[in-house]
Amino acid sequence: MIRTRVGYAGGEKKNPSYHSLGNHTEVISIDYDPAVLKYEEMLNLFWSAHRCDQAGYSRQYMNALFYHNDEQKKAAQASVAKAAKAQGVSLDAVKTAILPVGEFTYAEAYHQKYYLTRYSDIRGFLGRTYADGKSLADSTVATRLNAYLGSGKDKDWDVFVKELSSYGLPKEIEDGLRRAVEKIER
Amino acid sequence: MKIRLLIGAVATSLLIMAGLATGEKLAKADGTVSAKTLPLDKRLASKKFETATFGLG
Repeated sequence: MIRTRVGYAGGEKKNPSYHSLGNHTEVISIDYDPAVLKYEEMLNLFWSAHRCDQAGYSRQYMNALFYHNDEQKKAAQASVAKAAKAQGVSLDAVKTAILPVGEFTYAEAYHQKYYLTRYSDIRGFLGRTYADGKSLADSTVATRLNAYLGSGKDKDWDVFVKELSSYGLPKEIEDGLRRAVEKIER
Repeated sequence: MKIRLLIGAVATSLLIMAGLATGEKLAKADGTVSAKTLPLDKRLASKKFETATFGLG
């Protein structure tokens, strides 16, 4: 996984925003290296997070697979059948949508790398480095920091510490992160 | 005096409303990567990638 960002996709409204979404859905967009990570692996993760007979609360918060090409479409369709069988759901009761992604609009900067808003020094540095929303959203460094400092488990702190010096963070921030990881690992 | 105050208040309100109405211009995905300043970002910006998109409820 190279980088992630959040935004709006799947609808027809020309310039959606959080307060004027039209029929778009809030989505996560993931750039990945197919030589390292297969689309099917992400589909497995997707299905582990929800049941295929649950549609989500609304179009805004819809469970959906947005495909970028025919290959992804076929893989998504095959995964629905597999998930339905595994979850004991008949195919006609499946509510998870499979749709073309269409145009992806980046969400507002304050929605990107949300967990980093708890760390004003890091967020401040990244905000100064990448003043426009798209750059911040496209940053792998911001993506990795957000993932490590956010919720979730199974984090490989050894990898984090090893690659930390390649992030190009100011020394005081990097040192602070190393100290924080030491505390976690104790 | 009252008229000047009133004009000032109206002008201030209009400026505030204009400021609130000016939303952030949101970018569209175009296959390019904008983050290229930090070393890791710079290195990965030229790496080939595919994109997957999910609605997670």
